Amino acid sequence: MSERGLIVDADELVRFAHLGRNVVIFGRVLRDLGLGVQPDKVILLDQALDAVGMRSREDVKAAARAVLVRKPEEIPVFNAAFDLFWSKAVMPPAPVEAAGLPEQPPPDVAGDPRDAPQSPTAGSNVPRPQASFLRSDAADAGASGEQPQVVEGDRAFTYSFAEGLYQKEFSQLSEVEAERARELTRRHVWELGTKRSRRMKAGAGGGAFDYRRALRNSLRRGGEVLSLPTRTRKRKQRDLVLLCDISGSMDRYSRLLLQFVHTVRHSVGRVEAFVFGTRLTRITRQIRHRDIREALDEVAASVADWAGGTRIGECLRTFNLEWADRVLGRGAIVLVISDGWDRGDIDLLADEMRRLQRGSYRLIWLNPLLGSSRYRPQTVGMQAALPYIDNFLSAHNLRSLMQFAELLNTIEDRRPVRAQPSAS
Amino acid sequence: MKTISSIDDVQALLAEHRYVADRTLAVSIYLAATLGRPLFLEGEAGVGKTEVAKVLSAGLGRRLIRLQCYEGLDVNHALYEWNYAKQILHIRLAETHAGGEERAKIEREIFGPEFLIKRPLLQAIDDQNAAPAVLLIDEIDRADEEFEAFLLELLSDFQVTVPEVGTFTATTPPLVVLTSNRTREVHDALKRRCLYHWIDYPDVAREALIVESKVPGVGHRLALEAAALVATLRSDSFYKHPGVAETIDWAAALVALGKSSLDERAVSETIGCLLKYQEDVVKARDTALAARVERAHKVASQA
Repeated sequence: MSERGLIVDADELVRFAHLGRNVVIFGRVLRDLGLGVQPDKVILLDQALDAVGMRSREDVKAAARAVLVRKPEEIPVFNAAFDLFWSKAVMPPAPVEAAGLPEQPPPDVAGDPRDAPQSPTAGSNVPRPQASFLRSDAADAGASGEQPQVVEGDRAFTYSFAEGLYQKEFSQLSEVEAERARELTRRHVWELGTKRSRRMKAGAGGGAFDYRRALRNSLRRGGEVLSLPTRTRKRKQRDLVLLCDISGSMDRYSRLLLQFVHTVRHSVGRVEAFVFGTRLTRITRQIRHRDIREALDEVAASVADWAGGTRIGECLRTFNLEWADRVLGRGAIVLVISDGWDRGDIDLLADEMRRLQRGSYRLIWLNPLLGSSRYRPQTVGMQAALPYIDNFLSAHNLRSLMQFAELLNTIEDRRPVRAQPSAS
Repeated sequence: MKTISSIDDVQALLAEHRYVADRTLAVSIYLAATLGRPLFLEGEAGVGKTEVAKVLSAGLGRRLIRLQCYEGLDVNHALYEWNYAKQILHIRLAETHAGGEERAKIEREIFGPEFLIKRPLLQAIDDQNAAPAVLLIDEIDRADEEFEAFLLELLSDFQVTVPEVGTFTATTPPLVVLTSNRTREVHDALKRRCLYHWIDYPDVAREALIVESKVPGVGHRLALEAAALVATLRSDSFYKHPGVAETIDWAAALVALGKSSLDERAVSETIGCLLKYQEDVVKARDTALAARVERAHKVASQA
């Protein structure tokens, strides 16, 4: 019995009984910890506590957890908050006083669990050192006359100027040109490939026989089936997964390419984005901001390895282990943007590329160096990765990015036939 | 049909059907049953999510209705569809016998219950002539967003209107169990309707218990060793960790080979029951398999 944490102490019982009446406060504590506790959840929690009763602490905890938690990552946070709420006498002595509590919960309630080391979600709340790289860049951009209104009114640049911009190497753009290039990226309508959905729509010839429409049509004609309507597959946007290299050697390109990532995210529905250098960071949530600067600020705040070394193999391994199952499931196109300079384990890189290719519908590598006529992909990293790449494209100017988009639109509804070199 | 009136009831029911679970799962099930909320079960593949629904249906004497989700699953396959081919035939037949003047009557007939194909969701709700149901919506993460939105509507009032026939309402709302392997994040709106429970891998002792209850002829010692070895695999980074279902398969394989205790060779030969990717298999055979086996022996002897 005791292992269920049955309440024997009378004091405890009184204190605990208050929990039931103070679900609102408990909900507020959890909300402060980043768990979405909406009012309807509080009502449900109240009902749940009524149902399980107040006899066993563990039962109450399990019940509250079932109501309030929505993801496994939230479980440690919840547990910490519950234990704290329970163990300390943070609860007001009587529910009457509870109503008079200030908006903010007592500081020790909000503070302690947030610092609790065992909770991953809480850990991510701790502000990380800002990436000075991006910060200073953003500041530069502001100083060099990046006003928001430049965007709207700027129809001045002629075709030829724009054309020049399309062709020019990213690394050689002046600050003003870079801003224009970003603007062009932003304005371009990106259409990045569709796939056959498994949903059906009325077809115009060809496809499977549509009984439903046949019947409906026939009723209008006195039961005579005169036409043979058909159904075909709808098309929908293909998922896109972007893996962007932000290591030191990519420094010159990173900002523009991130701009590209941001734009793609906002013109195509389903995009998962990651950046990597020495480690992999998912930035899908950070770039959801429509405002590019806000988005990049958030990326900067969450990335710890700007412009550092590169360990592509390790990063791809992390991706394959932790994310591939969740983001490659529906026939996603994977896009790696990197120059292939790798200081990590080359065999690992080859292994992980092999695996990544197998999991993806199409594996495309964009290399900013490929634009130069003198460039040969001879770095060991690039050499190791090459056998597993379906399309190897350049990404050195705007034109090349647009060519990439065109390629996506020509991808057929069948996986490419690949003969992978056997495992080493 | 049995009912659930306490958490202990649920525990007894699970135990009776040899489903080894911790009390928190029993609490979640109890709440789902008493508050009439769907139970959203998440966890790695093979931890026994689907099994919960099966055990509940057997234990409560309810019909088990299973809707396996897949991309593109639509209302016609989840809820109901008219049997169009039969309708067309019926019209043809009726007209040869009756002549054209009874067309209105024929049209009424062909949209009657006789021509309605009930798909799982409607079957679960339509309990006029059948026992209440346990509705298992399996692997909801495989369905697409359009279907989630539809499901949201259905789960809020357990009522379906077929325009030509009328409204179906469940007299006893089905006990709904949704499972997800987390291949993608299910929309918050749907999760909010549900009670959430994450099923984790069991600890060694519990897993050994599960193996013993599921695999006839497995000894206590072998069950413990197998569970301990699987635990060492899960603590390492493999592409796909073995689930409880895999442990059970593996233990059955070892029994079939006449083993009563683990040895390195047997593990190496049967590792394919546990690890399903070639890279993982190679890695497991490479990296100190002997040490793993030894550790499993040690854990088992201490337990």
